[in-house]
Amino acid sequence: MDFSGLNVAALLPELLVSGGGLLVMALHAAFRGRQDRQLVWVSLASVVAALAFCLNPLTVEPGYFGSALSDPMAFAGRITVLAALVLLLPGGVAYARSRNLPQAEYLSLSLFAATGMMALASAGDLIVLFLAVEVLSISLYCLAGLMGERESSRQAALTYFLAGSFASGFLLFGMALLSGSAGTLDIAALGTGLARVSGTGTQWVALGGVVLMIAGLLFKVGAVPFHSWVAEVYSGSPTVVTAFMSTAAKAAAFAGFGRVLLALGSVSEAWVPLVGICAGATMILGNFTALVQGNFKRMLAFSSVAHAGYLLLGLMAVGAAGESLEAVIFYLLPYVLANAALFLVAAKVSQAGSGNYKLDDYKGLARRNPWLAGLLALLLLGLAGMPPLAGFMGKFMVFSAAVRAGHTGLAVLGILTSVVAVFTYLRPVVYAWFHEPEESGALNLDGGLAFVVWVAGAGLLLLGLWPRLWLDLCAGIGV
Amino acid sequence: MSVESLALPLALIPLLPLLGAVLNGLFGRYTNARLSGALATAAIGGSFLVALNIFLQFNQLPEEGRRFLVNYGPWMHVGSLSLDWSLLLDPLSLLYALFISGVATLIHLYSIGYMGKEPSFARYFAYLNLFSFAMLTLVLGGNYLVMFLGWEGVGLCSYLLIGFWFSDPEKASAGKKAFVVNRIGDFGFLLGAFLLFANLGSLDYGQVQEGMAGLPVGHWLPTAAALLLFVGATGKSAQIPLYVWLPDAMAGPTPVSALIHAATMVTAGLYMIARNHFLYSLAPAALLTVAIVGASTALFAATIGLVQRDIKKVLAYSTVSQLGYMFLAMGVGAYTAGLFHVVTHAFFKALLFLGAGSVIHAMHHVYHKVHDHKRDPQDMRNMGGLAKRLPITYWTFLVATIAIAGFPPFAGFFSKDEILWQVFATGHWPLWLMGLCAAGLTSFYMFRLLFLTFHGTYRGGEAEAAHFHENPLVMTLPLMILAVLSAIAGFWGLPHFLDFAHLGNRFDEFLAPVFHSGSDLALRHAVEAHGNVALEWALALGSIGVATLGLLLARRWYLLKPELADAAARRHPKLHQRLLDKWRVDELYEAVVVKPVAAFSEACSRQVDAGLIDGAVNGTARLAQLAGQGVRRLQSGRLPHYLTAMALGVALLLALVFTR
Repeated sequence: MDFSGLNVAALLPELLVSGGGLLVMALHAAFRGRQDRQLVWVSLASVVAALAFCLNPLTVEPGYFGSALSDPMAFAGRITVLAALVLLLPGGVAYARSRNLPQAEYLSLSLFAATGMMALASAGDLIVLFLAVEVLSISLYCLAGLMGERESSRQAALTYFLAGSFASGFLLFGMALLSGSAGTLDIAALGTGLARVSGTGTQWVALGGVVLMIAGLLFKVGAVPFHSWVAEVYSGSPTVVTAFMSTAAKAAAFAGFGRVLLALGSVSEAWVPLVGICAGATMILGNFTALVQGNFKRMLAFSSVAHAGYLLLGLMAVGAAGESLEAVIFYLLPYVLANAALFLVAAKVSQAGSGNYKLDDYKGLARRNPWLAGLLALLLLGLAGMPPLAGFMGKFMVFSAAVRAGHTGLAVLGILTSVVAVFTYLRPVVYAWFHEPEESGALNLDGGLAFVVWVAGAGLLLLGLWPRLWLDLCAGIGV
Repeated sequence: MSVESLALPLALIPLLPLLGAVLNGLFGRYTNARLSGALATAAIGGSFLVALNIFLQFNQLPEEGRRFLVNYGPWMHVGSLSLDWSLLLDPLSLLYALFISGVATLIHLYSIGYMGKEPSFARYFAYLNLFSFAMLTLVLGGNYLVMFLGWEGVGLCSYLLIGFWFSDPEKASAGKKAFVVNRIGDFGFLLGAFLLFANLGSLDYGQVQEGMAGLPVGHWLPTAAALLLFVGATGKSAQIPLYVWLPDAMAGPTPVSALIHAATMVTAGLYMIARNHFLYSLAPAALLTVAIVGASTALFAATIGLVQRDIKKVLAYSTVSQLGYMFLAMGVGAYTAGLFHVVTHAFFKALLFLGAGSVIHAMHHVYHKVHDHKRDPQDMRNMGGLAKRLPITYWTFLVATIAIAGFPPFAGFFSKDEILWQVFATGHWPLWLMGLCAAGLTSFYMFRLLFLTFHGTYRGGEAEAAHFHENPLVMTLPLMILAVLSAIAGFWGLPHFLDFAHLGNRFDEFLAPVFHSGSDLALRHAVEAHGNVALEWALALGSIGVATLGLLLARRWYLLKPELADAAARRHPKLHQRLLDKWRVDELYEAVVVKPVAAFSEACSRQVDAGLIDGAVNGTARLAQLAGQGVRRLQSGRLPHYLTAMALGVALLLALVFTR
């Protein structure tokens, strides 16, 4: 057997991160949990090493017999996931420590989930895609239940697990139908395979497969009509895990499924209207639901549903007009940066306040920590799409891609709902700046959290002013 | 002058105030208010000097050569979309840059006195500089997106400055209202921009203009784009139906009202229309809409201004009304007339606000002396007879009042009269009549304000009045400069029927290269020479007549026989109350917009949370009781619901695909 197709070098980022996860488990066992405080450094080291190999890949040949790709999208997805980890792990460990959660489990499961996400973002083959989805999902199920002594956390884990397994069933069945009728597992070849069966009865089988696969994607990103689990899982899971689910997992899902939809461009007239309806409904439901939340964590959760709607709009454009995925790739990074930082801030502010993620906790934040309040405003306005922050650029790219592809109606809906979103994001800002604090005393950030918030804020501004920075980087790395 | 030699000075115009904002933001709190204010003033003053220098060189260029597009590098190149960081210098952007930086410099200077005792002065000056940066970016931007960057930036700064005194929740909510209403306008702007982009493939002014060149008048594309962009203008420039935020915005410090909510930001909508004149000229329906909205706003806002008691509220409605005039001019295609009123209005309205600020500042001081914190220092019923106490404020205020009321030879007369003449001459006589009525009302409410505030006797008693003294020079100097400008600026745009010395309408000529090209330029001069001089005289005398009527009525009701005004209010209690309540438009919006949106959101939220106990979040007491029963509840509770919903969702998607 010829092993040159294995090309381990291409899999290095995934190997490093999963190796890091294993090492964390081994060290935890070897020291009987006495050195758990140091494990975060081990994890970060593996993430940073993976990031380094993503930015300077040893090879751009596909790995694992052609099923792990090295295109710009793969790198964009991997880097986005790793960036989320860099931001979330230090804060997550602090969160775990302060709530007596098992740190080693948190770290190793996060790294395993990230391995799945990275593999999903670079999957060139349906089997790898499914395995990646399962690796990331199972890790996330466990992470959701990490706060086991709380009923809400247990419930979130079980709900996520059962609903997720249900969705995996659809996904797998869809893949079987699709690959069966196209005669290939290679994602890039799906298009030509489907063209062969066009006009025959098999075409209908393939279409059924496409629909079921899209259903799997919609579930993973929490889009309408597969959003019912979101409220419970997002608000019940430990906040750092919710942050991970709503950022990195979503980025990976969009990168992985984006590639599939790109390959299905030849049958776009079948799936584009479908995704369009879901995108529209998701934008409406996500934004309007977020509007009335009195709870910051839930507000972020539903706003992340709304963002999935905008991203779906970007994917649609890919199908119709042969657009590239640039708009989606760009949208993801600032979204991930802002959301990751905001969830961590939410955990911190809530802990110092009601403990309940109430919006009221933000009252008078500007008096207690003006820098934090300023960065909070920056991040929220970034999500709301204020120029010159990157959130605006992302929305602008997605909407203009949609307009070019002829989905003007949905672009209008997108702009309209983003007006609604402004109300949502403005509320904590107004509380922070224009209300008297309910509790006095400074609210100081520890170094890790301050780092995260500053990096995210600077990233949002930088990417807004020089959007090509990120796109050229991805284009420059991959082939 | 070349593109290369322009690159640096042109960039400096917006960048200097940005630098000022950064410095004040970072180091301001280590200085004192004077230093911080001086830095901010120097930054924006520098912009003004650079703009002035460019202006002087500009005048020596041939008319066709007065347009420079300076490209500073790529911003966004994605797919077929390509946008650059670019600035555009032409007479229109230069005009705006000049009066914005000039008026802003004076207001920065005034702020040193006005905000001197404010503890967070550095934050204030940083915001003020940041605003100037955004505003200058808006007008100098070389494509729609750079313009939008400034467009959003000024909205954000306006929001920050309205809510500057955030300890007052009412003021904070005014800021939020301004932000959100503006975003609704921005929605229109973005849609218009996307429409142009989708059909022409570019967001560059020049390329869009080229793309429009071949289209017939009345084509749907310019009409739709012009209308959508106008939605943006109604938000930013406070026109019906989106004017509601501006009166509330008066909650901010008074110099902010002068700078942002009178002189500069609110004229961004006018700039946008002038910049897109090629679109509007192809869209008669859109132009007519602009004209009707403008005339209606001019009249409607003036009626509300008649009865307001807060000195700043009167000025706020007056601003809305004056902006209506400018849109009216745009709507009849008289772009330069509208822009001329933008400039003269910037002078006299900034002066009115700064004068009002001077009064409020003095009132504050007096109330502070007598330890009275209950009375409202902005309520004109508490004022009176201040002319003797605040002489410089009074005389400068008087100049501005005469100017806005439309008496010659002050600036407002020329610019307003030019608008009314153009409206009449283009055959829109019903709109002209509305404009004329509004002119009469303007004169009435402005003199009402003047008499209530400065004439008669001080209504707080003689003892208290002794505490008044005129504000320091740092505040009165800007008043005096603006008073001179309000008095003489009219001569820059002298209408030809008054042009005895044949100076020509210099303002019109300066802007001509923007709105006309090549052969058109010469033609325009030929046409203008043959205006109907007699008719112009008649109309001018007519508008002076209504202004005089307004003045006399205000004098009779508020100076000679104050009881008459109360009697009038008593005779029509319902009308009076309606006016005081601002026609209850806020309440109407609450009922038809805010409540339905809230109800819809609640419905969405319930749908998402179907079966979920409200407040089922970490650590509520209720859940603590239920701890340990989680799994049992899962079996009987929501999970089947979720799974059913998912299965139905898949069925729905399949049905959608297979039934097509």
